[in-house]
Amino acid sequence: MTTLLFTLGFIALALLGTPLFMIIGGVAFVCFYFVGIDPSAVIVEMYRIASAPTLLTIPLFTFAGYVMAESGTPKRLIDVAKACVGWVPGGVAIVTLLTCAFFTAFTGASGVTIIAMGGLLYPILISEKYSEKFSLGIVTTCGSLGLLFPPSLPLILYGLVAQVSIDQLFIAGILPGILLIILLSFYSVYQGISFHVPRSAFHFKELGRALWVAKWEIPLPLLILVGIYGGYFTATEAASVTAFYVLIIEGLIYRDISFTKDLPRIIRESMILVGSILIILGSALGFTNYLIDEQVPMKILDLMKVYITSKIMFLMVLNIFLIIVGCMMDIFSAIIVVVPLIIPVAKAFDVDPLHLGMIFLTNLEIGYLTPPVGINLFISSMRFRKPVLSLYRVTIPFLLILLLALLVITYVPELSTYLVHVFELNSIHAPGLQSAF
Amino acid sequence: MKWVRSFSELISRLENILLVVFVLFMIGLSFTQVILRNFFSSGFNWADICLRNIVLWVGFMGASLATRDNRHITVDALTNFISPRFKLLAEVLTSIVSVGIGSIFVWASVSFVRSEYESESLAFLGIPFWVVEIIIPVGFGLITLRFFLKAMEDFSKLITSENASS
Repeated sequence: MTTLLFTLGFIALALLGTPLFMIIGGVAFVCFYFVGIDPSAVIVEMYRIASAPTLLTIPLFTFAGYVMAESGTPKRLIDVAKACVGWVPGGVAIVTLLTCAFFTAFTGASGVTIIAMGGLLYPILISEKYSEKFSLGIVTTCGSLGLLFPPSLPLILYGLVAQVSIDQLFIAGILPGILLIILLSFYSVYQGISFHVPRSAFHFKELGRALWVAKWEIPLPLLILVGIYGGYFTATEAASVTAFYVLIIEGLIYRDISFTKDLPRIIRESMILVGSILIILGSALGFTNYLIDEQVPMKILDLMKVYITSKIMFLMVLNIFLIIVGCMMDIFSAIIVVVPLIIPVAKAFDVDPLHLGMIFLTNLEIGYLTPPVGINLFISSMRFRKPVLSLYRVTIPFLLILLLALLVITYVPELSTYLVHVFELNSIHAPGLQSAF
Repeated sequence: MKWVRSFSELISRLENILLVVFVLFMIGLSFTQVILRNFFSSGFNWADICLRNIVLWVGFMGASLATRDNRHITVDALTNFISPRFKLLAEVLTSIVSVGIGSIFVWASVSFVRSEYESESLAFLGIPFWVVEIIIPVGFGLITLRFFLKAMEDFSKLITSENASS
């Protein structure tokens, strides 16, 4: 009875907008109190954060992403993509997909993409005679497109929480991520043709010029991938090289960022995001530990085994569950709270943790767009001054395409694991948070 | 109340400065490590643990500023759909709850740091662990303080809107 009251109370408080780390911390304190453990154990668990070797990647990549968002990178990227695919039917729409994906990989789907990229791309789409409906839909959808590509923050966080190697995750996300872009590109081409959007001719000169201007930024994903998989540096080192490199090119070469005026603000903004994620991660560690001690995942598993008999069925139920989670929570808290509970269950149903990660992130990406509370819908509604209800409508076709992609990613596990096998990354147990202690 | 607010503003200016220093130091030190390791096969043996603890400090300062700017991650499924007045009421309630839980966090982290103080173990470069960990109670203290300020502010807003409507 008391348990039920506490549970309902905390759920109500969470829904009313109490910060999530307070809810998780409060639940942890109550649980620890009932089993007679000193509350300082919550803090002991929290401090374990500082023993995870990949922790450093979170602030460094986030900082790099924010620096690029504040500089001329979005404009330069769009120029390159336009010169590349502007001649294809639906070209500008594909430009939107590609550039947003690139950008989200660095900014981690924190709403920055819609604000930085969407703001630039939406007027271009409209001026190229795409319908307002389609243009709004695509910029809203693209706000989270690309979070399967390295070095996205959700990938890193999943690796930390699920104890999967980040090196493997970075590779695993590439094919599923490309699938999403290809499917959405087909739709864009179809729309481009049906709106009779004028096509620009392809000029090598134009492409060369755009590439030359963006020559410092375009190689960045390559630098990270070659660096890590060529064995030159670890994911953490890649993060510090990226942060340093981005700071130098945007500050000293392009001079888009003023060290005295912009830098302090960018640092502050990016570290507010980092802090609000880390504090949830930290408070959740104590709570997850309690759940694992009480064998909650095993109990969930036993319960599920009564109704769910096959892997296929499990994956189906998982998808439905995650879409509901995705439209209630943002991606970071969903990973922190849900992954530790799902991992043991998924293992029992023989789901590869890499594959699970891709299912997880794709689901949450869809959750960003799912009414009533998908976050992209609200960010877009604020940015473009459109009522949220109209955004529900315009994103439906995109939502259906993403659901189709989700089905493929879920039922074709090879899509997530093939490249990892090709690169023969052996699955050494990753130093995550749990094993650090 | 006024001096508490100006104290909070003073702290936020300090946090901003510390954040810039820490983040730049973090980038500089970690990049130096990469260079040292790849080109000179050496490096500072204290750097990794130092960097991870800097992330902890940066995280807490970020979280504290997130409280000031009201930008913590929430699961506010409901608040987009309720009336402004009820929303204000919810804000007061959630702030008060946050002050309560935040105080438990402060208390728990003070007793954590105290026990680390007694154990006298060293983190890196002769700095004891408790010095590194002091950011946990300090961070939670600032967060709780800011929720307290927010609760007072929302409460007075609630009163004024009550008076205005009646």
